[in-house]
Amino acid sequence: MKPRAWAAGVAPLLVIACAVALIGGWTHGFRAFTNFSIALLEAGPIPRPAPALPVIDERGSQWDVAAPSDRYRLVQAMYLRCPDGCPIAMSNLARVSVLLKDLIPSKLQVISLSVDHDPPEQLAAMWRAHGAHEGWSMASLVGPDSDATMARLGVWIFRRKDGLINHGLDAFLLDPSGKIVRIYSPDMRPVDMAAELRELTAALPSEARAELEPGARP
Amino acid sequence: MKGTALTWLLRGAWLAVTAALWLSPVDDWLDERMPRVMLLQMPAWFMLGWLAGRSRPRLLALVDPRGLGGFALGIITVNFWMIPRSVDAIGSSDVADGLLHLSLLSAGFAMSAGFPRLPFVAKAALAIQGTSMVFALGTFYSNYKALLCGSFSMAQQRELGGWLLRLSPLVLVWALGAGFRALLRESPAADAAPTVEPS
Repeated sequence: MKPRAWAAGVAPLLVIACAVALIGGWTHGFRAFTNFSIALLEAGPIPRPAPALPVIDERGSQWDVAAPSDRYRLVQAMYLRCPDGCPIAMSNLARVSVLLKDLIPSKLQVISLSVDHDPPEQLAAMWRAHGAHEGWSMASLVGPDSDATMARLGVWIFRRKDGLINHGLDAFLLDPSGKIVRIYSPDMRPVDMAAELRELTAALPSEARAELEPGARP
Repeated sequence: MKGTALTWLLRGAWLAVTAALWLSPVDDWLDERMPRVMLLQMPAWFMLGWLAGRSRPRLLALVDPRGLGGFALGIITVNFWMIPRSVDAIGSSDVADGLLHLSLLSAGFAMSAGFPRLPFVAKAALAIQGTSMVFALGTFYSNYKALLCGSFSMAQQRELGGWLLRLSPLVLVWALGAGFRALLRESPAADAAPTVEPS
């Protein structure tokens, strides 16, 4: 084989091999192509215990969303100034809440978790604007490093130069023990999410209340 | 003499455009919005590389005799920068932004040697795939309910989708035109080809 002909065959193979290695590493083995999915992968497989999520809610109460409770909790990140993604996600949560109104709040608590330290009075205004549902809390994370806390949950957060915050919109389902047992993609239809939540929470007896840990929401 | 002057003028223009694209504030303006990154910045760097490669055919023939390596590099580089995580990196990191410039410049440079040597069928397949990708990405970005590239916004994602959908008929017309032109160019040669009678 002539050297130049050999080079002609080897060059594309070398390029392809390098590309497979590079793109494979960049996408965690071709499993995650967005920063949102990479944050989910890096947080670990489910089921896994959720990190402590200390919050202050629309009533000014402080509690830990991930502390053991007597019900499931559906948690989704948001912030009140968000111009596009959060309003869509919250309207989907509202739809899920309507579909599961017989389970909320006895078996399921829905929590919209602000990543922007929104104060309780503003959270309360948004809560009232969404119908002031008893089983739907709006809360802000408290503590010095809320972004690291959200990363441990599996939510990617990017604070843009213009002040907006881009973040993952996956909804995390925590079981009564505080383990993340399901992650719902933001493009999932509310009716499908509601059907699965109904099935999962069916196993939870409504009268059997788990031992509440200090810090859990009463 | 005139040819030399024109060559130097073109080289100067190429350098001026490259410098303008690399330096602020043009680069910052291009990085600011998702449609500008995907529809202006990426094609511009690729085309600059392509133009540079067209002026250095001997060098490319020496490094990549059949042009296949350049062709593979071009396709893979463009696809790498279509990954949402890569698009995010452009908006959030200056290093990634610099890598985008260099890699697309190199990809255009390398592909300028490989693409013209491809047979018509391969070019047509690439054109069909490219056209359908523009339409499919346009539909996807316009309708997907969640943010894909975290450095930008939903509004920009939909705006990009809208632009891709508007551009897709133009890309289709261009691809058909280029295909017909290539067919017409090939047909006289085919007619003139000597026929061998079976003995």
